[in-house]
Amino acid sequence: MSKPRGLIAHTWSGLKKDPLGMAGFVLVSFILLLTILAPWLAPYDPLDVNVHNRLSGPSAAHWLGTDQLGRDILSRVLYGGQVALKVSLVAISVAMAIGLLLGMLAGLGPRWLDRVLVIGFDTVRSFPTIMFALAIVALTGPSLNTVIGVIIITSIPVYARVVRTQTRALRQRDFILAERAMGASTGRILRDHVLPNIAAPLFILASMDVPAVVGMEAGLSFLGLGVSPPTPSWGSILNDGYSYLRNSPWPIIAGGIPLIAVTLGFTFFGESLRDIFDPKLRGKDR
Amino acid sequence: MSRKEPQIWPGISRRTFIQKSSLVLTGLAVTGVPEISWAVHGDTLHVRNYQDLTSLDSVSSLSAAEGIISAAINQNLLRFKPDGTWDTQLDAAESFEQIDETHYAFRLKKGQLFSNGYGEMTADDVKFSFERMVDPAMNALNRPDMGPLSHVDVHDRYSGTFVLDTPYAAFIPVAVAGPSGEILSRKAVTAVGGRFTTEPPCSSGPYLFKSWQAQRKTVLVRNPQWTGRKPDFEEIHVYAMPDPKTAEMAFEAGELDCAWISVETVEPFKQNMPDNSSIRVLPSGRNYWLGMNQENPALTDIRVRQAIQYAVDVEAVVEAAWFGLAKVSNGPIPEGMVGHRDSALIPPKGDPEKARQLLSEAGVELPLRLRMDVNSDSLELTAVQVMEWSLRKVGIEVDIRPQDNSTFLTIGREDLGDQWRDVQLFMQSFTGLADPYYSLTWFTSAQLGIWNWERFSSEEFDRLSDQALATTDPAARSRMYRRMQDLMEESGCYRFITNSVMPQIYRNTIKPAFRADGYTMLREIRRPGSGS
Repeated sequence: MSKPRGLIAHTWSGLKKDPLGMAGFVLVSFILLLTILAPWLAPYDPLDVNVHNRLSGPSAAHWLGTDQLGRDILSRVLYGGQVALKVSLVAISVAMAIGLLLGMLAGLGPRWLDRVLVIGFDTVRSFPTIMFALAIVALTGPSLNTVIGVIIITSIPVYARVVRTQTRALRQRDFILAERAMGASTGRILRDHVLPNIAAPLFILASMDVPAVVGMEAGLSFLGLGVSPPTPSWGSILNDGYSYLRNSPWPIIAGGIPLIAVTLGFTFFGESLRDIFDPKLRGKDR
Repeated sequence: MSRKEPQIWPGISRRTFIQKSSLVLTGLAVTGVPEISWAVHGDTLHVRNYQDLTSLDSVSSLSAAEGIISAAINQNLLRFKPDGTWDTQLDAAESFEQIDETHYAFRLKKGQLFSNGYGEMTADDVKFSFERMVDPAMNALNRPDMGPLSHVDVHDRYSGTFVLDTPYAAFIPVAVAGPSGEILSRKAVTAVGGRFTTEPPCSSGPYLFKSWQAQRKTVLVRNPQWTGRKPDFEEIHVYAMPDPKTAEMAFEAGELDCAWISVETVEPFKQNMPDNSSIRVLPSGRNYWLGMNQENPALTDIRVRQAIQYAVDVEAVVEAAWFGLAKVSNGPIPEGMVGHRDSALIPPKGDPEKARQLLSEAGVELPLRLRMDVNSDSLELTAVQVMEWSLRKVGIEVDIRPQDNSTFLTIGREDLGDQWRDVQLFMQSFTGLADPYYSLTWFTSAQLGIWNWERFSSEEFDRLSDQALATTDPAARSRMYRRMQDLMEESGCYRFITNSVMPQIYRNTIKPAFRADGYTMLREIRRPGSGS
């Protein structure tokens, strides 16, 4: 495993050779920056209602126009990014952590445990996400936490399956068998050998998962199953835009652009990372 | 070098298939898909309904969506005039008169036939139709429409008398002319087991029921046995389109002749009106209000509820959600109806300063956090977001909880558990009928935990409700209903929003007809120049 400095340098060097990957990286960085700085960059309070200025087009005062309640769309898009960022960060981190634990258990544990866990993963994955979200929302009511919960539950098997496969492949490798023969504990093997080897594919998977999670949050909010109004989210901006499309196209455009940008940015960036860290491709580079 | 074309079917190569199918598609694009192309032409009328049917039987019908269709295929003794008022005219009855406060006599026109060979309509069919509504065994959902109806005395084949236990001022507009008063054939309904849903066994109106396709459309055809004025259309296709946006696109595509559209679309349509079309923004009988559950611990202090009343800027709510097309309401009873109030007790704009003062007097620690349940409909969501903004300005933070309609309609019901105790604020709406009784009866103590989710309970209100129902003097009734609305407002449980509007768009190739609450009257829709 490379040292962090070497890893960053290697990644940067790989990105420089891949224009699309670099474009994705720039786009992702730009979106993250705008989102984090939303409280300072947003020209208005995203919840401030001004009914008499509703559904106006772009102007010097409102760069992306206003929505059906006269709220500044740019401010809502910026704050909506925070919701998307929060959902993707929390949901992916938690799902990855749980998936990592369960995947390693399945990969290194006894056969019966592996089977039970795999059946569990397949059961969760076989359930349509939207139907699952509908059921949960019917029980708990729509909220940001519900969205995060739904995404965590449906994402855990994705990470767990990858970790399980990697772990099972590694457990038969010579260096692991040698460690075992020398009396190393399972915990030590996991920490020192398995984890470093599966970290890279896991992070690549996570970066590729961000647009999917952001899209899922937006989709659930669009259907009214996500964040409650008046909290801004890209999905609810799109939903408002759909309802008032004849009056103004700007909410739809403004809600759609960041979703497209996030999808493109993370996809290009993720694919580039995959290419950089894929051992076969790396070999070819040399 | 020659290369043989791959065959996707014996004798048909891929290239041939693409060529032929392109020709077919081009042809369809030019001539149009048959079902779509003849949509607004010929003898067929195409109309939007805002939801699908569940039942066309008066004992089990649930909504105006069903009433729109059943009114075209059935007859009442009296029916509403197609002039946008709640005035009535004779329908199946040749005469109808009030004998005294509890007796009404009727005589049927002769020779009115039920379809499918069920014979002539008789006074016994009237007796059957009304008495099954009050028969406890039928458990009719709309039983309250009949009020204190006791029974119907039949004198001969065509005449009879309604007998009421007590006077009932809403008897004609609600029981006789409303959807619950449609006359069915005893023989036909009995033959299908005493009840039916979406397949009526027969009918006697100007149109007959032909077919129903779930979630798609209901088809009505002209009744050849109809003895009245010949209906102008051979068929009426009523499409179940819950989403107004779909209806708007269908209208623009030429697939509908008449559709109820959303308020926000009125202005864009006016600016870019589809060819040969018109829009009418009609008054609606749908009353919207912000309700407060006075038994919830956070709202037991009347000063907190009053603070909420004063905090909400209703003018802004109506302007935002109804695009200025609707008026601020002064109570559940709409303009033009007995008991309508000229003004509410709380000013429409509210008074945030007074709201803050009331909260301070109540010793409430700010921010006060409350939950607000709402139907997840874009209009209502827009409205509650303005309320949330108004309330935030005085220190009340609201957690808006949108719910789908079926879930929302259960939150205040006692028979489904204790969840009603958690209800705090909610935006509710209800469509009234032709009498003020129907607008206020849902707020009596008898309705606690059924439709009275505010848990509003007033002896004076209940007494006045009974008295107004038994009073036939309009001036006296008006005083009582106005006082009842004052009591509602004084309780702090209600902030009245609007009586709403119903925008309807239609082709100028038809002469539409609408009820006083904006709903389409299918049987009264004519062609221009065909007379009334």
